[in-house]
Amino acid sequence: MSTFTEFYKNYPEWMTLQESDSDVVLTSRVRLARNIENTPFPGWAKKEVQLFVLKQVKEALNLYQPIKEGQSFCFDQLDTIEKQVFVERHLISREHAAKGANAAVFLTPNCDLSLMVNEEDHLRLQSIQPGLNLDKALDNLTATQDHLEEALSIAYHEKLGYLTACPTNLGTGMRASAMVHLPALGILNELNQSLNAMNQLGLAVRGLYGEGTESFADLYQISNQSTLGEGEQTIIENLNRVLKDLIKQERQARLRLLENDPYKLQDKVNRAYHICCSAYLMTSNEALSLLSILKMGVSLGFFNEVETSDIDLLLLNLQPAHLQIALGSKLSVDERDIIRATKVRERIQRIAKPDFSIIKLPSLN
Amino acid sequence: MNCDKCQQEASVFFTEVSGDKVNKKSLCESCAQEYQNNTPNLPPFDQLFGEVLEELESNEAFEYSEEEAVVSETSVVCPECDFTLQDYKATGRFGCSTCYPTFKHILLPKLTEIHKGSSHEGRVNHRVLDRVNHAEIIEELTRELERAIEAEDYERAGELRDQIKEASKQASEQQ
Repeated sequence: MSTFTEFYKNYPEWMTLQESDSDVVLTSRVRLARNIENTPFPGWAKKEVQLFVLKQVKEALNLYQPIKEGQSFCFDQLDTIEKQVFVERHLISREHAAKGANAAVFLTPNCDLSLMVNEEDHLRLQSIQPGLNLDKALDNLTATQDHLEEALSIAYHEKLGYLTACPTNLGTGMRASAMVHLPALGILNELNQSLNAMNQLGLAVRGLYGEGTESFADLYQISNQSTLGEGEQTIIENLNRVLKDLIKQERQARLRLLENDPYKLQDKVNRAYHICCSAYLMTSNEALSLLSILKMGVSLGFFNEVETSDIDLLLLNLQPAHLQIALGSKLSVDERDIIRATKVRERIQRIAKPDFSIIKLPSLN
Repeated sequence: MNCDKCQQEASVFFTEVSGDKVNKKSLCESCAQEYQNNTPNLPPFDQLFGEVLEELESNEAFEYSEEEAVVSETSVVCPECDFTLQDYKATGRFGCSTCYPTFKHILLPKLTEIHKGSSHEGRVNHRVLDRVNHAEIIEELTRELERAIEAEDYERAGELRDQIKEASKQASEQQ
């Protein structure tokens, strides 16, 4: 088993990498639900059964090099805040974090692959890649799937595919999703229109931490709903097509803001920058919406020495569990607002003020 | 209502959905039993009542006849994990992988409501792939055996018989 401190020090690699479409798509994720045959699913299994599942998985992964070289954590060695850090880094789900001692997570060294044990299903494998890279995320899981199918009796039915605790995951057991940043569509009030279109195409739109979570900082998760009746490739091709179109819509919205409403855009970015540089108290919501605007400013080229992933890392470090671990003590809400403002101020003050020279302001006369 | 086949009082009602065709049948108990036996795709007779049970529960004011009252006592339980339909309603999750064949009759009609299709199109589990390979190998060996017997090459036939035995053993070990 690994130590939490070691894990906390290093950010997952995909959080720090920049891809050509990172201005809109932060990350792509593919997760697969798998279960062991003829064994009650975690939600219905007695403690001993859950422990037996964990033991079987551990043995199977002991022979698997990519995981062996990485880190693993049994939940009996993590407290609530530590588990929350894994959630904030998207390495485990909120539902998984709520599980007790019989749950565990296995990670590859760069955290591009994580394996949750005893979540809603016995096994949830997921791969995260930077930018729009769903195909790579799926490919990344192939070797692990092959290994697990050799080592364990995975529940599978010829007609229904992989059998999962919830029938909504039946078949491929695959949920492919992309985390997208859509500030300009939001400012132009075109967001609902775009997101409704997603729903009509059978895709789900969720908040930052998946099912049942709110959206923060104009960040949305777009994913497939249907897992049966279509193969993995088809599901991903459909998502890719829709996401490429969404990237285009958001980029065009940013350009329209730049051309049609430059004063509004300049005002928003400049205010966000100066509030971040001078605030002494900042709620989580305020920080998220200001940084969302700054992030758009970065991708439009107003800030030269920063990349969008720098803002993403700051956002991560402002999340409640990350703040508390960094400070080493449990904080009250007011204390958190002070610490948060300090962190934002110190980071943003190091960035030169926005350069709007690329904007041609229309004459007001 | 009378039975579609023998004009006695009907007590079992089928609604078959295949593709977008809906076919309704009213049958008496003995004709229903016979119909079920001649229709291989239907689940066993007693499992069909799971749906009736669900109907009853979803409509408390529903007045049911004597036959259906008997039916409501027949509750389906998963042989592997003791999971019941009531448990599914309470949690929205199944108990184990064996629940799928057990509650197939309830689940199958609902699958197309939540998914784009009702049969798996994606990755095939490796173990199943191996099994399919074994089945193909056995088929091929059997054809060769028939040819050897026809050619009265009994030495070759003996070898092939042993190979088929070995392949069948491997196939059954994997199941």
